[in-house]
Amino acid sequence: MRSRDNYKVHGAPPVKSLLPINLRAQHYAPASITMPGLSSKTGRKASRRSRRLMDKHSQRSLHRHSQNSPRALRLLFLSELLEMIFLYLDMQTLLLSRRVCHTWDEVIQGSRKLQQALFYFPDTTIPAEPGRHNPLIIDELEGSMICSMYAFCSVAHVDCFLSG
Amino acid sequence: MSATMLTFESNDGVQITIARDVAERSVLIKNMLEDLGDTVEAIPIPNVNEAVLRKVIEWCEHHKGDPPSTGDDDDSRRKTTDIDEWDQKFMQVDQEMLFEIILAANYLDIKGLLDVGCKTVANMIKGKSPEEIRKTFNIQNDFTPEEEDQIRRENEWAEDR
Repeated sequence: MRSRDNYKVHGAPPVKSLLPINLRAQHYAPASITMPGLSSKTGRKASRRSRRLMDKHSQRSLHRHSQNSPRALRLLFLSELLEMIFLYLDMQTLLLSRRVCHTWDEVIQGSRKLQQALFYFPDTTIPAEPGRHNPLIIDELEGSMICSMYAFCSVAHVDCFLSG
Repeated sequence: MSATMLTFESNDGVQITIARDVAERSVLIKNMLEDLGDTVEAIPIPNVNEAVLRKVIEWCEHHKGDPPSTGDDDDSRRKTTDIDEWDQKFMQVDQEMLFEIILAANYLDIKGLLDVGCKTVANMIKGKSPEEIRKTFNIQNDFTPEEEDQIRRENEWAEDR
């Protein structure tokens, strides 16, 4: 059973905030980005993740945006969470996402995992066989395969001819 | 004997009592309990408000029987964004709540919930143009036209499909 009775509530439940968003943003505005659990012995894993990517730029962007965004929107400027989200994107959307804002571009360009996902950086964790192929390049190749086969052959011939 | 029920206090001062096995879906809580031993006092959750905490608990209760996450599974591999039906319904909340849930899952180290949250946001991004993405999340375009054009040119080979 997953009813609410499974847990008891003590004390008066607060009224859900009905403040307009701009007031709420002020109320919520974080003084700085702190990754919860960082200092705690119990947050080992989180701290390892967050060490990786926190950068000054995301804090700058956050400041710029925090004026009119609710606190939760800082998610969109936290590099480590953005990286986790971006890892679920297909290559094309990932490339397009670079143009959303500076922070997104820097996260995508600065993340080794995302660069591996985009085939810009070799992925040494995968075994050589059967390997992984860049779907965008495969598409491109398949589209022009027939004419380029001929083109390639004739170029190869010329090459042989020239070098021979 | 370890206590079977635990009380948590949200950052807005509301106490919620839940079963220990539900609470232990959170690696942060699990490790904390191991470090602290038994506690009868309410455990403060300073970064999470009541509404969000209740959502997180709802997820943990539904998923309490799930096998524990395998830990460091390789996340550099392209991953599926399929979300099971219950989780999809669970994630039908406004954007702010969705982000709060992700932040809470990150803080409390609840991998399954974090994954579902990230997938949900990824699905909101997929197939959109940069302008549509900005609109969806209310993000300000802080590129100069030249900068944006530079990136567009870098990705030209892959963009128009």
